[in-house]
Amino acid sequence: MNPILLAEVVPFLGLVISFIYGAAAFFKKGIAMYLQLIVCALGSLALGHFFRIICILTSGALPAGFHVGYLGDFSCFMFLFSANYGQMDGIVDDGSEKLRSLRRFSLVAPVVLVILLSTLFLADMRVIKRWILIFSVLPALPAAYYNLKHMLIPDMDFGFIRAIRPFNGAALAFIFINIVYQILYAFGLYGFSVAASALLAACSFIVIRNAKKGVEQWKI
Amino acid sequence: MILFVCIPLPLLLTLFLLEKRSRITVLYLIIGTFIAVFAASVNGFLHDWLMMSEREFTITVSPIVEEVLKSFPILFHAVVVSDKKENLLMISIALGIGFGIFENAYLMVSNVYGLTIVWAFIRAFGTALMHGICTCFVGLGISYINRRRKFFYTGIFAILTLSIIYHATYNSLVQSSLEFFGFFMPIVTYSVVLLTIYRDKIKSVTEKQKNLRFPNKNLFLK
Repeated sequence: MNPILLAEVVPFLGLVISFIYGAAAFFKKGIAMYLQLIVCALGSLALGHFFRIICILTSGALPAGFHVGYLGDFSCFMFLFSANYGQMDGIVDDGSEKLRSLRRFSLVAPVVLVILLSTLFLADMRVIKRWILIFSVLPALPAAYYNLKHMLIPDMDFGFIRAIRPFNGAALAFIFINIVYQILYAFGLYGFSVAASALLAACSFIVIRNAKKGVEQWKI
Repeated sequence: MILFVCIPLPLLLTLFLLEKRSRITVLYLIIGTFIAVFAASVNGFLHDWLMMSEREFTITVSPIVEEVLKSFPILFHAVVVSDKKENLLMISIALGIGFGIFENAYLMVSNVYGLTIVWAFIRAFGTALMHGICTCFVGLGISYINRRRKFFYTGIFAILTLSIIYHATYNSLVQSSLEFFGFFMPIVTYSVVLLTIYRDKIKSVTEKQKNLRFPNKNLFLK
């Protein structure tokens, strides 16, 4: 199989399986919207990969510039950011002074992502494509910040933060693997991007499994 | 202009004779035709400005333009009038089909000597239905997120992403050697949507019947 196609099919399958599993587990009455947003994030990314697969099957390659698959990527990170900031941050962070150093330390995640993304300027690609790619993953920066913060923040009250720590770790890994996968693809290292795509597929399932376990643990 | 006079204007006259629910459906069918005209102008302008090939334009730009324009009346209806799922489903599919009908009529008039019955079936059950389904996604999605305000902006973007990617996928497939899959995609999706809607309706009817048969079932449980 064409490695470019394989690098799209593998994450697509992983994301679809995770989406179906998450939709069956979390789209019910009484389940927190936070979890539904995570599932929607995986669904959006799956849509982006689906379109890329269709493009490769119909015309042999992805469009040279912008294509609508980037909307799926952007939507995925928007959902992750929305879930972390809109739903969770108000609960886990009381805004107190003693957590200030932790908030500053959490900036490490977006800074590392910026460093990774800056390697795109070394890739042999059109300027417009480079900026489209960077823009499509922009919401990943605040999403990563909040995932790291919620992973490190001390658990003071209900045990909820401790319960979802593995999920936050998996979500952070998911974001990083996705960015690395995009960078490898941009550099034309399709063999490595296939490996990264396999990791992405596995990570997407781990994200959902950890979210489910976290919710179950907290209920206990 | 002639086409515009022939199709939506007579439909406008029927609005005064129809009952409320039918009136709203026909109104959104007419709005769909208006949006088709407007979208054609915007697409024409962008096509000249961006200087893309026809294929690339229909896969990249026109799905975005058309789905965004089609979503505005539905969003308006959801925010101002009613966000009930049944109402939004009805108006969104009417709007999408109205868009598709006008687009088909325009293509028919532009290409009179190249028409066949096969072409007609493909346009009817392929393209027009695809437009209806894309708008249906928007309507169903808005009915879900309108009551979850925190989710609203991200949700709207996601719904539009879904309909844009669906539309772009259809356009991509029908212009390739995989056109067979493209033509059947809307019919298959429509069947799934129909089954889901009727399954929910059958569920609610059987629930009502159960409650009628056993009105005091909770007494037995105690």
